[in-house]
Amino acid sequence: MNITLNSISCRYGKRVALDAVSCSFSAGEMVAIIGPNGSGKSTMLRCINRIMLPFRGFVTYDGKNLLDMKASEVAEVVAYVPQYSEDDKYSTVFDSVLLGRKPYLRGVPTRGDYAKVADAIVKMGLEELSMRPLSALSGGERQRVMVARALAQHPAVILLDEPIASLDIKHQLGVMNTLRRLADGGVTVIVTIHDVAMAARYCNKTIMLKEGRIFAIGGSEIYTPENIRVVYDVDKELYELYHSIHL
Amino acid sequence: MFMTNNVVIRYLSMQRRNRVIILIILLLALIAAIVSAVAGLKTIFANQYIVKEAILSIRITRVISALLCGVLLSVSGVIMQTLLKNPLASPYTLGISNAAAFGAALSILFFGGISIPGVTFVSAFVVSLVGLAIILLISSLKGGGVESVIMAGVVINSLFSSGIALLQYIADSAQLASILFWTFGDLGRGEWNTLFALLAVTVVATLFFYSKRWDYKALEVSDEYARSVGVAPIRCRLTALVIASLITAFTVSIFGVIAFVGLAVPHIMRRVVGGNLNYLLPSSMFFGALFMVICDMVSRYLLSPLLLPIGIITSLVGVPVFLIILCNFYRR
Repeated sequence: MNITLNSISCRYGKRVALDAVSCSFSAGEMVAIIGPNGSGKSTMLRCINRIMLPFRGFVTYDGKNLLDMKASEVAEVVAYVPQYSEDDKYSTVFDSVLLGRKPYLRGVPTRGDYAKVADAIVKMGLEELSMRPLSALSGGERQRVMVARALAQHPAVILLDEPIASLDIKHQLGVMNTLRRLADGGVTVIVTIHDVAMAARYCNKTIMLKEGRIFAIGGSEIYTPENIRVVYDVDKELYELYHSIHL
Repeated sequence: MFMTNNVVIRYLSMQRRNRVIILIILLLALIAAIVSAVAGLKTIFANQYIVKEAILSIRITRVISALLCGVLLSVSGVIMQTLLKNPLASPYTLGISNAAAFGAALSILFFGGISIPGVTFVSAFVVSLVGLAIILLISSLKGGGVESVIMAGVVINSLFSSGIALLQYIADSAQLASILFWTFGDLGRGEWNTLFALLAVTVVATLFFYSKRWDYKALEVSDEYARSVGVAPIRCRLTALVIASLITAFTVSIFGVIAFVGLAVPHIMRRVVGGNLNYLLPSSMFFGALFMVICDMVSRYLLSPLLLPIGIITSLVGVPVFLIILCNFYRR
């Protein structure tokens, strides 16, 4: 599925969070949106998913204006993984992932729904935890549950807001590999991420945001020390130290 | 493939367990209702001056009142706790019960009170609706989010509590006794016509909530997530809260204030069947009904022949049960 953002602008009250952003995403692309805190990464995801409406500009899905699509229609195409989730702590992992089937549920879930949920659980390595309540999980395990819920939705587009923020290295790599495989299978994966090295390694396109505007867009060639320095406003020494650890 | 099948099999087995639990609770509620209806009748019927049909009718309406009251207050509690994401939420959180009690007190003081049939019910119900309207107004002015609804509920609760205190202060001793008696809660106030109306409300409300259970689960994750799966968060939350408040107002207007059921029953059942509304809603309904029937029997026999107010018994019986379950849970 091809998504196009046509000069979209969003604001919270009077503060403009995104300013005339234009870009496009193609099927099978894995795109990283990077930038400092408050640069508009999460807002961009919210606009793509119609969680938030831009006050200027518009978003199209395969040429169709997002505003002309029904909410249920969008839900069948796009899955969203929020930064935080407040699920009921007594819900089991399976029940929580089952919620991902919501756009398709007409009353009682079918065996097919259960199979898709189990598949997503296995993909995220949660099979041993599937009947545990969420209260018995660590923060990282809960984050994997959120990703599994999105996978259970079987979307054409998956939007993830900092999906590896609270994961250890093993599970960071696990999640990124799963997302890469999804992209290779034709799903459009758009992910906001703070780990520049991880973004460079796994994503075939990166959008660098600074103060609500696109600063740079492209492949690995945009990861220059100068771009990173300007976007994140960090000293050269600090950047080199960061890189010496991460790359 | 093997692992996927294994996960599904484990889930289906948990599902079967939950269904068996719900069935057992339903059977227990029905058995308790029958026992409650017939208990002691042999002794009463031994008196030849007693009109058996009248006694039976009183008993049956009382048991049906207990069942419906338990179902409605528990369902209302499940919905409020889920949508307000607050473990302390109950049908009383939004101040609806206090609004109804204020309405009842108002009618007792100024409109002839319990001497005129229906006046107390109408007054209690109308004032509950006024309370609800104020909550909706305040919360919609503040965007309709969870915090705004809870804050508006706290304000309404305090407002009507003060109102009740004021009316009690200016009431004479007979009126004060009537107000206190009304607020204690009494299952004997149910008549056949009100019970039919209550049954209709129960069926419509529970079916509505059950049909929207997936929307409520999405809302529980976050408003953002709910939007992403096609749910309009504010409309969905406010509609559910209005219906939950209306059924509470209707119940409280008939029977008076019955505390604790709406708070404790959903908590207890969450620990037994988990947070999936597929099981939490029906299990809370039936457990609420069972709990109320048992409390009614306790209220009739604890200090027999003195009939204790049901509102006191629900707390007396419920608090220890709730504490035991809480302690066991944390020990585990």
